[in-house]
Amino acid sequence: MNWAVVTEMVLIETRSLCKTYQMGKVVVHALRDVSFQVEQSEFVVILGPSGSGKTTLLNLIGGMDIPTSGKIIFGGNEMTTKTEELVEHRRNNIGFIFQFLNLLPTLTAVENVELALELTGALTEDGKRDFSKKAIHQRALELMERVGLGDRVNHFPAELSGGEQQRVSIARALAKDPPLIVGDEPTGSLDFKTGVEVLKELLRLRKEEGRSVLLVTHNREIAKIADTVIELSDGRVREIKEGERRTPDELRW
Amino acid sequence: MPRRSLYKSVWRDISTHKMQFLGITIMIALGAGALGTFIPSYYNLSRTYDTTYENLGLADFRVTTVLQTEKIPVDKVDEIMQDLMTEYPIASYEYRVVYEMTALENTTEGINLIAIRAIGLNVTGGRHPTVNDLALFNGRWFVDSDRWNDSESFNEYVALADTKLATFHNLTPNSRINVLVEGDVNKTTEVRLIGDVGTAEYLWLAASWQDLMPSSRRFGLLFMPMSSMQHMLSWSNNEVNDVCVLMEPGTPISMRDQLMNEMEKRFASAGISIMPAIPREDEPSYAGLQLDLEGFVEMVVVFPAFILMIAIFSTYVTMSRLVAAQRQEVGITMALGYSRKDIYKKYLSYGLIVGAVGGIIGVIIGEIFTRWFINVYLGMLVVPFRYYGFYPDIIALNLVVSLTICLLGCYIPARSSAKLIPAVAMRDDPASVVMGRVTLVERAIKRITGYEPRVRTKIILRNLFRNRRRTISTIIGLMLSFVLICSTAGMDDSFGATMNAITVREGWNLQVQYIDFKMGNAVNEDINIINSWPEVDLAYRGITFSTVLTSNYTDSEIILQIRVQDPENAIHDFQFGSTGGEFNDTGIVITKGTAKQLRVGLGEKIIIMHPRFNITSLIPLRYSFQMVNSSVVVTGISQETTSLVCWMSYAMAEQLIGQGGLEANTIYIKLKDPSVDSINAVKQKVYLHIKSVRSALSPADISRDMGEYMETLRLFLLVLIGFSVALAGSIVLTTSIINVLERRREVATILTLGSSHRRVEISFFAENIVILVTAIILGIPMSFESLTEMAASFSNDFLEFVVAIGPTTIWISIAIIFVATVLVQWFFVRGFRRMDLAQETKRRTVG
Repeated sequence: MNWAVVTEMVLIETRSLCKTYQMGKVVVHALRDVSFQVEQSEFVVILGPSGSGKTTLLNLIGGMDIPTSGKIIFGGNEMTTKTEELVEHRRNNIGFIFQFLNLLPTLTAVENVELALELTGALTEDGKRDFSKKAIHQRALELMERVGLGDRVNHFPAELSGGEQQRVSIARALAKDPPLIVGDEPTGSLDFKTGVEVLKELLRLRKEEGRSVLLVTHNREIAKIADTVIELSDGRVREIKEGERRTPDELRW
Repeated sequence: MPRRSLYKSVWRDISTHKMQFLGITIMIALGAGALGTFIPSYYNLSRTYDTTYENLGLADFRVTTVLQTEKIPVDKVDEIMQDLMTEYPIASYEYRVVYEMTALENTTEGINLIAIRAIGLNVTGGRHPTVNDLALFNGRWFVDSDRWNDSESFNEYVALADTKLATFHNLTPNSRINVLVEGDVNKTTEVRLIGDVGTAEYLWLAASWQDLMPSSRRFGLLFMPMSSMQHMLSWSNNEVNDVCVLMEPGTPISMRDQLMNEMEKRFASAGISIMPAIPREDEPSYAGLQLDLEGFVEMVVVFPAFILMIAIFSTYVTMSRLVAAQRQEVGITMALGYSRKDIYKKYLSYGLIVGAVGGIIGVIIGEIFTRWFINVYLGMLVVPFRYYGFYPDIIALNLVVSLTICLLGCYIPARSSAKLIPAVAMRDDPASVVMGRVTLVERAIKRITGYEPRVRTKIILRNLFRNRRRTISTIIGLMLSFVLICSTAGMDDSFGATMNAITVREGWNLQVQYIDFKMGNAVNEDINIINSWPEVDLAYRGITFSTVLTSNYTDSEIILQIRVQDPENAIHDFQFGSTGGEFNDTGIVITKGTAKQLRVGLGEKIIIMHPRFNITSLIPLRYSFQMVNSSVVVTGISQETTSLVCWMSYAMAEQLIGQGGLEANTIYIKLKDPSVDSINAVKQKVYLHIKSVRSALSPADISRDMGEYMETLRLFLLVLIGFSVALAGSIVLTTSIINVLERRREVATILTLGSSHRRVEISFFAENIVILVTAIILGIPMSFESLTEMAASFSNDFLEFVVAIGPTTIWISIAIIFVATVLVQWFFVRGFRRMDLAQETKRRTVG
């Protein structure tokens, strides 16, 4: 699957998704019959307590794991279970933002972004991918500017604050120009103020760039910024409801 | 107060990091195994030799005539010895006939001569000698009908062969050997074998000091009833030429020496010309074996110590990484109220467990290897009495050493874990605090070439410098592995180079040795015959004989071979090097090893013991020899690898030995075409046309002989290489696992971003190839250094090993270490494909 294919209004559709793990003699049902849709430019929060299956769901959509049964339709195409195609899916369709930032400590901020760009090439105005060093570097600088870190490009992660590191992480997620940004507790390791900044950045991506955002959190307060909230409990969809669409500044946690 | 929960986690950690701990356990087991192999092997070998010497009554000393043709009357021996037995604690004595002859062997390449030392023993009534007895391996012992007697029933000579000779030439009871008593291939005497025997006197088959390591291909022993020998040599049954003496157990050396002097005096006053008495320690076989044991002692200490040092290092690295990875856990444990002492003890307990398990495995390995090594080694030496002991003290020592090594390796990491501050330890995610930096290499490349590498290349470069301790420890680990393999395998190259160095300086293509000295013009006649052959360029006379060198600067005595040659013929290519000097008629040339042992330099004097020729009657010609000491000047110090030889000119030798003295006992032949065919053709002619030849050897024959001798050393080397490869594998395993495991989160992140597994694997391998290449570059000079140390432990008073590692050995070592590293990493890096990306991207890890 590549970028050009994602033209449907419904970006993701899951149908009767199930995931079980064999933990010794015990079979753990992480997901049971999960079905929902995410449209393009939609901000969706998957909410649930620890062990409810939200991270498992995110991993399946992100192509980091494969379902035991059921289907995931991404951009109109059914996701396969083939390793190489899952790599393609992660590379082209998904921008990851991790809870623990996961920046490579040996690379500068801009180089962390370039790392992702070297995989996909820099998107040019005519929609092509340019793999030249110059184009990649230029695009990385633009992304750093966009997340407000234009003056911190040559700093190493250890020289950046937690919020700055997460913004580099967002820039890295955007580098591939993916239709979907996924975040697994992206504010989990950040203080409140920094967390709010990160959420603002994610909302901006949805509003200004029209990207879909799928956010996993256990924090009900954060769920208030979503267009749609999918609440999981014990591996099942407990409720799918419309979000409050509040601004991050209105949140308190 | 028991801390069961705390120690439960020790077991679980070991189980979780089983491959790392397995690597360390293997190293400890190898170190303990090496100790458990070499020390008991040394004791077993030493006690085996002593047992054999004791059971077969190895003579404390021996008295023999200067020339083998000289005779000692038996009744005179009895008279002297019976008298001495009243004054000295002599347990027993035996007189014998010892005579050098040759045996004719027909091979597919023509005839071959085997130098035979025939020893006539008093076996009257089927008795065994009370001194220098034999142990029967195959066949039967002598009976009275085997002895020559005047009756008509005696119709054949029978003999027992030494087992090495019998084995090498496939001789079995009833095999027949044609011996050349007079040195003429046309006059042979048939001897029937009745069996084969082992001997304490020739446990190490040495023909003489100048022929320390003959192959059974060309030297062997035959034991015959004395009366038969006397009959074969046309001697009377009252004539012998060798007396062996065994002292009462516990006799002091000084008393033995006193007896030796007394015997020399008594024999001299009885008009019997004898060599100075030869004490046991000066017998080439006994001394050779002692030197072999001494070389073994050094290896007993050096090699296990080396392995155990590596084990300390690896334990330290692994434990350091474990402690770093468990910072948070340590913090939590301390926050719960466990004391620093508890934490300290917890991490030391890893060492105790690994040390105990490794030590026990090592003891088992040691037992197995000791049995194998002793059996094979003693099998090669053909030792009649084997001693195999059980050494609980060594087992205990082994376990203590293993535990100590592991505790030492754990000490610093355990101490640093106990020093952690709980709050800091719990808060820190070490990965996040790793400070990245642009490497010097990158900056240099950019400045010089203007080229800025891609990010994927930068990752490789920066990872190398990111955690210097980890990178350095990996490089050291791999380097040590390489050094181990390369230097032990390099010993084989050194053997070859040493052998080559011994023969390469010789200008001759064939060395013909007579059974004994040839008098008058006989040698010149032989030289004329040889020079008339079309293949021959030139033939030269030479003398070789054993001597003892001493100096005024040390108590050391060196027994070696003097080679008397004509300076103008330049048979030997002397390499005087920086020491200078020359080979001339005014003194002696010694080797650097001899100079070192005697502590003499150029122009200084040494004392040489040599025969002095006296003509007692011209008609008929009667002569005698007397061993005397003379002082000679060192005119040159040659850079030879061996200390077994020295050189002097004919003029100098005649001055020492006496005018009209020995003509020669050696002829050196230089061929026009030194090809194998030409050498073999001339060798055949020598055997057919020159009388009293003991051997005709080419440099290749000498190298082959030494090669066969080296087989015993090679066996030892094989054990070392086996240990080295296993150890190298463990080092690679331990260091590689650490490298792979510590990077799982990063790898998971890169894979999650969409990188292919292949790209990650290539990047990983590229990084490790840089480390590997660095380790190999550093390892090559280190290998030479290590080999120098190993060669020094193998070198002895006779031979200084040349340090040489051939390109093939280096390439093979590189290939082994490369394949081992790649295989181990492939095994673990392939695991990335099964990695749970979601879980791994959340892993707290060390950087």
